[in-house]
Amino acid sequence: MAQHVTERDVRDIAEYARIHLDPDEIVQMTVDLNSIIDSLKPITEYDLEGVVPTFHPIGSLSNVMREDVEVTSFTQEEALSNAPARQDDCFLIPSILGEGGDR
Amino acid sequence: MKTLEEVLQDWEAVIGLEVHCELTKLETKMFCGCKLEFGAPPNTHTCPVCLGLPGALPVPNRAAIQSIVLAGLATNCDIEKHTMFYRKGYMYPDMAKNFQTTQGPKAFCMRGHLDLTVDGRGAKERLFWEDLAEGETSENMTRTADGYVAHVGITRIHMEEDAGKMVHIGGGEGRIAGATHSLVDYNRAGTPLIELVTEPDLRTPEEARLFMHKLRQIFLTLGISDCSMEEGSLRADGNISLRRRGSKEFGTKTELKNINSFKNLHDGLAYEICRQAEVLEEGGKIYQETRHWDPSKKHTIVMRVKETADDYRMFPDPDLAPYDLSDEFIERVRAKLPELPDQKAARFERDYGLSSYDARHLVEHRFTTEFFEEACAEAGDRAKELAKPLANLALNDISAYVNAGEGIDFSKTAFSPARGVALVSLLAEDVISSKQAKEVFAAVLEEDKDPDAIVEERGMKQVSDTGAIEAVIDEVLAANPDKVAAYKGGKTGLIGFFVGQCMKAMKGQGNPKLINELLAKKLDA
Repeated sequence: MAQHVTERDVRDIAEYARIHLDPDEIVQMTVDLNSIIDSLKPITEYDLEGVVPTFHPIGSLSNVMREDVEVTSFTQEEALSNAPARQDDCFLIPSILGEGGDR
Repeated sequence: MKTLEEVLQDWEAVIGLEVHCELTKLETKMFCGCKLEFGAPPNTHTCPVCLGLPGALPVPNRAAIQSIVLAGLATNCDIEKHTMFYRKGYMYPDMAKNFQTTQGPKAFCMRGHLDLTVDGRGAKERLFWEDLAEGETSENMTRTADGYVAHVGITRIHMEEDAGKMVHIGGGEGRIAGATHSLVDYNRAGTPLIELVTEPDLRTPEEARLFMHKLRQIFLTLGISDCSMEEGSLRADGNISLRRRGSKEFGTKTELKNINSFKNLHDGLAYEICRQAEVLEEGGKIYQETRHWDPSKKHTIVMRVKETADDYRMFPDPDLAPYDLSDEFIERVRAKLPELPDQKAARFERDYGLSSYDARHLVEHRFTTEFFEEACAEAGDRAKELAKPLANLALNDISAYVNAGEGIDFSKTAFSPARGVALVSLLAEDVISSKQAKEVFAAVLEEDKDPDAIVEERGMKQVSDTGAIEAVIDEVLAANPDKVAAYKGGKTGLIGFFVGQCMKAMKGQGNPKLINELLAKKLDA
């Protein structure tokens, strides 16, 4: 089996995805990911010259839109029902480091 | 630190803007039917889609897509028919699904541009335009009679969604520094947001300010957003780098955030340009980082070192079907395009004979535009004759009044367009002097009465009776024979003295134009 991704790549991917993997899980995940990529190998054997890439898994659907009309939202109680902690009708979460994100 | 003027002698600033605008005029969010409402109780407008619950399926808001196409058409963009939504990795708790839905390499609107007219004090920030002949173009600027036009490219406008709101507690004043916990309100999560990205075509802080101002006027005219910089429905980030004059290479850029007013945009960019010049001139290095403008301390501080684009892990959103906009869809939106500020200004010049300066400044604010248009309609056949004084009234007295009071809605004051026409008519017919007109303007606002009534009550009528004025002149000349002799001997500057004496004798109510004319006639006879 070819080595498409290394254990280091897997560690980086896990970090991006905020998924914790133990060292033995990283070893196993590296084996699994390489075998998944191997299984896609037949694609490279087709002659795809001039074929338009498929960017989207939804085949023939397009322009799906809804009208700008309000529908009933959750009640505040429903919205907060899964919150591990709450305060002042908000989700109470541990402090994050860094300032917000990019928008 | 050197001043902006000194820095720009040696360095060229290269500025691009990223402008976010919430589509606040819509009823519902981008991908779900939750209501858009500023200031609602926390977490009362949420659903499985905007809370990112498993299995929830987003459906785009048709009115949001129409709004962005409208914005694209109004900023000379090509409308891209084949586009789709992407997921952008976003690991912050104000977006519960851990990604932001946005657009990929192709946005709904691509390759637009806006032209900025820069003159007066604002033009001083840019160098070398005076070396061009009128009408001549160099790089992205074209020389005009008293300034230049900057042609600013728009890379794209894409559709995305806003995040929720976080309040940080335990650190004092809601700041994140030292905070122990945060409170999250998801009402704003999923608000339709358009992001406009310019080409790095701006060269001065003033051009950046004018660009934002113009864009805001356009979006307000389109009616897609309330565009409030204070409330955050219109936000600007600036990208700035410097290069030595004559160099074509771009320097390393920094990104400036926390800009919530036009003044902050200008001052923040000006500071950052000067800061970068100082670092570079001392042999230092500019790091690609995000900096935060602190208007009270008047400096920028590092927020964080910028992540690379790869970290966003963009990929097509499998839950959202791609777009294949029809010509019919685009044309239906185009039919809704209102008259834009530039077109309005051109019409004011054409129909009312206003100068381009007056026309341009009238359309800069809604209250001046509306007042002028309604007053011209009110003036009917005399609109062309009264247009110039009406424009002066709007740009001077009304602007000063509105600027002096925070958040005044001028259309709700006692000074209606009809009263404006009455006031400038009194002035045009020489019934009152321009000084008296200012008093009447203030009195109308104060007492809610018609200008004619105020003039009548206060006995302000200007005396334009030739006989009466001549009688006063004769008295004044008779009382000052030495000065008359001096005048005739060549001291013609004494005319001012005589006018003053006549005005004094008439308690300020003489028509100064007429007094001048008649005095000159008598003295030069």
